[in-house]
Amino acid sequence: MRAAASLNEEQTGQFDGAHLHASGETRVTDDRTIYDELIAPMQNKMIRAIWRIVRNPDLAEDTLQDALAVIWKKRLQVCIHPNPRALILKMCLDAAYDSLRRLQREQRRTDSSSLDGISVPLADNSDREFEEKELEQRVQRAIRRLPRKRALAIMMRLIDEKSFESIAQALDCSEVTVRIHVSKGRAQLRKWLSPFLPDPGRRLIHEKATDSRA
Amino acid sequence: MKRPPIPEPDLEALLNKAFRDDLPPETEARLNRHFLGLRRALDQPRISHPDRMPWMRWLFQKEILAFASACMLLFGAVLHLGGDQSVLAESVSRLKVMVEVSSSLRDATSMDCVVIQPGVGGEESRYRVRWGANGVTRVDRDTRDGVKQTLWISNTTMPPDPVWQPAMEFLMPSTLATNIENRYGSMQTGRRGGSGPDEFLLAGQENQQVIEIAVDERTFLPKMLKKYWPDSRRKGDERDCLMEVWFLWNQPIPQELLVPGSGRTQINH
Repeated sequence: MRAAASLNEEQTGQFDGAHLHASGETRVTDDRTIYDELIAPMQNKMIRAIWRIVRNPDLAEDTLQDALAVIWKKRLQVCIHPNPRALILKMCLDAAYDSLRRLQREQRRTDSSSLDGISVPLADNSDREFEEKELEQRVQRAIRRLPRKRALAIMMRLIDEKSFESIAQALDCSEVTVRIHVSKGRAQLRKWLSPFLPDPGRRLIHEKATDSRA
Repeated sequence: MKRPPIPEPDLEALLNKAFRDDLPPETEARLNRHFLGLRRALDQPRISHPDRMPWMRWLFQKEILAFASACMLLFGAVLHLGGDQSVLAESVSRLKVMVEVSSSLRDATSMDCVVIQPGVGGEESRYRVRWGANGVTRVDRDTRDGVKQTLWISNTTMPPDPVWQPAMEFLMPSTLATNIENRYGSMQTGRRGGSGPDEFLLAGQENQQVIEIAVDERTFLPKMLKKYWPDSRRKGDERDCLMEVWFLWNQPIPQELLVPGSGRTQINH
């Protein structure tokens, strides 16, 4: 069975590949074309998206391998998808989310004590690198605590600034659902990451001061 | 009307800081290699284009496998019901016989055999090979000019003179067992015309020579081995015999006969 998905101009509306747009209708006929037209242009974005989430060279490598395996296995599905780029990115973030969850399980095995309940007094810590590392870990923990679709919606919005429409296409749900995912996800993140966020009262004063200056 | 999402600059900033885009170049290179690997794989037809062998996928479909299993079951039933004509059963039985013969040979405690090699003009070379469980083999040779020679061979020595060659195949029971297993090819089993009720025949080939071994049905030890010329044709019941060997197994052999230097002319080697 060969990839013989017909991609017309309307279907590839989100797809920036010039080759696919060139003739109005392009027929993806073989694996090499799928790679050249769909995967290769996304290479950099895929790598960076995975790195930004997992932030560990070895884990990033494993995650990319997993993501590529899934993408390749579902390449025909990607071809006929209304938004192949968003779907590919979603698959990468999906793999990254899985890696974070796997990491969590491994950490639980090695250290039974949960670090989630421990708040780190950042103000007292002068080591900036340590602070950043701690923040990364806290955000990673918060992301993996989110339900999968909520986490994916948040990450797609954040990493690639995807429109709600694109995210909805990639997650195969309605735009309204995506908005709810993002909204609820943000609320949960805000709650879990509150020790790292500026005090709401201070933020209000800061915003008012900015407004008055304007 | 849809409400625009509430901007949360502090949360966005925090997430952006945590998920900042600071991919190290060496990691980027490592990750890029995976794409390179995939592209290379695509350039190799066998790996990259598994869909070019659709019959493989077809072959392993559940329905096909189920059908093949049913056919095999049916075939097995037919073979089973075939009785004496069963090719498979015959093959298994033949293999079983060969294993039994080989195993009996390896378990033998002594061997006494006479090797007769017919020559031109009715003359023949005759060797008597006696082997004991101590690992020594005594070979007595009667030459055509009436001279008698004896050779003692231990497990570690080999005779240099080619005149002893005909006896070499029968120096030890294990040598014969190995020959039956490996050299004589896929041996057929059956009854020999005129053979006694207590023996069966193994027939094989080596270098286009026909080899027949009459085996004792009770002990599974060879009683007689015959080799025929490759070009010999049946003339009634007679064929041109290349070699004839008669065996006696597990009979007591006087130990002094197996001591080098005892009796006859000794050949040093």
